[in-house]
Amino acid sequence: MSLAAAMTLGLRPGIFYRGAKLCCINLLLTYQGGCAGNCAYCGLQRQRQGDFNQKSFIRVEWPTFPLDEIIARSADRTAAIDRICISMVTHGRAVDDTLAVAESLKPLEKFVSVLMAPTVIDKEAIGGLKDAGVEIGSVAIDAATEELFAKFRGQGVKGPHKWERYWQCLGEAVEVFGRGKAGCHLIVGLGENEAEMAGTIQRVVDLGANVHLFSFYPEEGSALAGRSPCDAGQFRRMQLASYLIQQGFTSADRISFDGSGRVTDFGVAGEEVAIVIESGIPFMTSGCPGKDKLVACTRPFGDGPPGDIRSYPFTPNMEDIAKIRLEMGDI
Amino acid sequence: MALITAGSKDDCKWDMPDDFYYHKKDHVWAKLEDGLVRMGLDAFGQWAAGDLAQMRTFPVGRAIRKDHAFGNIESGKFIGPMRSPISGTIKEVNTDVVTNPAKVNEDNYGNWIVLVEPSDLEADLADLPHGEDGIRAWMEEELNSFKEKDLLNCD
Repeated sequence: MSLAAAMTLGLRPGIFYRGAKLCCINLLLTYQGGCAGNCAYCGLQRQRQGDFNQKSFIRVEWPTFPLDEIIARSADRTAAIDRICISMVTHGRAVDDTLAVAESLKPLEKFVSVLMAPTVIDKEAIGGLKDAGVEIGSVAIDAATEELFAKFRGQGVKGPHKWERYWQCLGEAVEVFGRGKAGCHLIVGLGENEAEMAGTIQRVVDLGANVHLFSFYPEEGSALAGRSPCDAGQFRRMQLASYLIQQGFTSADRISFDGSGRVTDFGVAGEEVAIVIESGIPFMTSGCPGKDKLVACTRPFGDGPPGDIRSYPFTPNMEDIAKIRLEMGDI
Repeated sequence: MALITAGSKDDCKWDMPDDFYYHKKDHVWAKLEDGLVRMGLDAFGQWAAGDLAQMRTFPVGRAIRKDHAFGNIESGKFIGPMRSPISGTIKEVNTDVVTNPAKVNEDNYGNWIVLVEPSDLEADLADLPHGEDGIRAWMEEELNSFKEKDLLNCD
């Protein structure tokens, strides 16, 4: 499970910076042989040195615990937990194991999400997940363009993943779970420009899925370890664009871009944009919702260190908003 | 030695030597040694921060003031200052620990961080928790504050 989830369940020591809370327990299937994928930015990359269960993922270690212990701890702390998310990896047993884990979680009576591995799952199996009580199915397309996807996840790294299959799988998730019950992870800063990312966000929204944005942060030991983290301004503009598109304030074709593809106008009146920015909500972690929370999956400091927050796991305060405005630059 | 406990979990037990002094907020310990003061992170401080990944301190020779930062620490999920319990001048920095801060998680009292020549020791020590009773009273207050904010996962 994620370090943050382990801390939430009291299985690892530590307190989150600024009292952040996580209400979603993020589980990752763990195999001796690891993930068959070889994604250049991922800590679980096949070609990276080390045993699978010793590799870091999204900046931190993912400690391994028996499922029974996780379920018992979650039952003990039921009031603090709204949702449990199972992340598949690309492995031959992952579909069956995800189904088994989902079945085991039923007595907890929590919302369950699955981050699906499209390369090994088909529509019938997605239906099986729904039958097992899964409420939301997500797909990590991650790259905003087909070219970047092939370069970092497909042929470029001798990886098994296909752009078309990922989009098809997202469509299947919408069909099975319903509109608004499917999610799509996108990583900002893999080399796309802002116009390309806005177009991809629009495509996800048009499909009926929600967008969960991540800021690229180089994973130690991965092929992209030497690359710079996503520019803060670029990420802020994409967080805002994603929010405005998903709320129906604008659309990708109403946003204006300069010659390099950078946003120059969101296609929304300035005073309305100001209200949205001041709310801080676009800059909070985007993820699956909780029982009575906008987002349960707050992933505290998952896409940047606590000293340089990219996705805020809490509502940004006035100082945070001032920093966000500076990072965003002139629009 | 004061053994502070919260709940029944093994990892929610913290040893706090009663001959040390402590910065109440940042959990920096201070040990008096022949006119100098050795400082580090106490057992609760390193527990709360989690596995330390980075540490920075001011260099040797820098004058530091009580309640002002002489450095900071960062883990995967936490960043915070280390404020000094006393005023003085940094005489030595434990560069081995600063470059390998996870050593603090392994042995937080053995792996000290800075050695300071104090400038107003008697006055600075007056309000710092010290001795078994003083440490227990301070930590009870501290743990209650964490519990009220629902930050202590020790049950």
